[in-house]
Amino acid sequence: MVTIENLSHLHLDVLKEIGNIGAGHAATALSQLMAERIEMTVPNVSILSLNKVSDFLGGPEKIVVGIYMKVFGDAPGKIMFLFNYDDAQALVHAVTSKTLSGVMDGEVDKEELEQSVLQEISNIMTGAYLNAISRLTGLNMISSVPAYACDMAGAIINSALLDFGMVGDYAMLIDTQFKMTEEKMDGHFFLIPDPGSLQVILEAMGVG
Amino acid sequence: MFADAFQIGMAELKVTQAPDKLASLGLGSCIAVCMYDQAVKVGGLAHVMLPDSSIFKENFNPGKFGDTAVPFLVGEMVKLGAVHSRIKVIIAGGAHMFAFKSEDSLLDIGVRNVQSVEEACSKAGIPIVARSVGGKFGRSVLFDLSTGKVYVRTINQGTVELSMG
Repeated sequence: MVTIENLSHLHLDVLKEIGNIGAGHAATALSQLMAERIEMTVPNVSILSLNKVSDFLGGPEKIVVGIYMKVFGDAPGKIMFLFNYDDAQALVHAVTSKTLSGVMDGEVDKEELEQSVLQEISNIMTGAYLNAISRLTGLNMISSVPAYACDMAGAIINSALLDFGMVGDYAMLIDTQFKMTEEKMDGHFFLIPDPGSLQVILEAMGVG
Repeated sequence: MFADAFQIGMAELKVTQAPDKLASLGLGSCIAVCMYDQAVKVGGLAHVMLPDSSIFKENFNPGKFGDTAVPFLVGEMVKLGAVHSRIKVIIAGGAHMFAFKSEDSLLDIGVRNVQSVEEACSKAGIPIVARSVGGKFGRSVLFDLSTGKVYVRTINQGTVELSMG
């Protein structure tokens, strides 16, 4: 049984490649939505001790926007988008100023609209990401509706890692960073397979 | 004021005495269990992540679970000179950060964490004298062992002071 504690270099490379293919499609989806160039980093497979998770991403008290989705199907897990508060605003602005400028002036709750825009962007990117991984692995993966929170980074990221606490003291995240150079914003996209899904994913890739 | 405190990460715990300070930053559904004996100024903080250790068979961290953190803190404090009957508790955390409409509230880990700590405290005969739990927001907790005061910081509501008094 493959667990976080005994992942080999080959396993890590395979997970990175899965992240790469998923994120490539997600970036394309975002790029089409924005009609703009999106840069993305090579994914990083982070294995973190639970007590150090909060130091990740600029400290536990940094104010971030998180969009959280559950993944159902053959390889359950979580998906989390994290943006700096200002970057989330910039992203919303970049989308809405091109298409919704009239609506923004009307009687719309601005905050609610912003949340909705971010949730929908996450939804579209997640759809592209999971679709690509599904095709690659033959595993069925679908996402829940997105949930939104704007709060301390520690409180937000920990919500997605509770399942790891039930099996050990480490968490694993497949992290891809997105950048929009023109808007000077960047965000993180995390795929967080549930502990039991690691084996399933690696087996589907022929390295279990 | 959080800077000179010992940082207690997820599933960790620490027991010490005045003038030390203990802190847990960015708590979501996790709970900071702050235990204190005013007379000797001995106290401890556990950063509880999950309610129930019974699913776990192998060795684990006692600070991770509500049902194990409470008796472990008491035991370690007694070793440093605390007296069981004088120990009091303040708890903070147990929020529900992401609400899914379809979700059953029984699955709310924050609520279950609070319940497990409450049960463990009542089993140990230790009173919970103050609390800041629930809601949809993160908290940072600072526990000053010189005074027994617990400061709970949130983004929208500033810092609230809770006292062992």
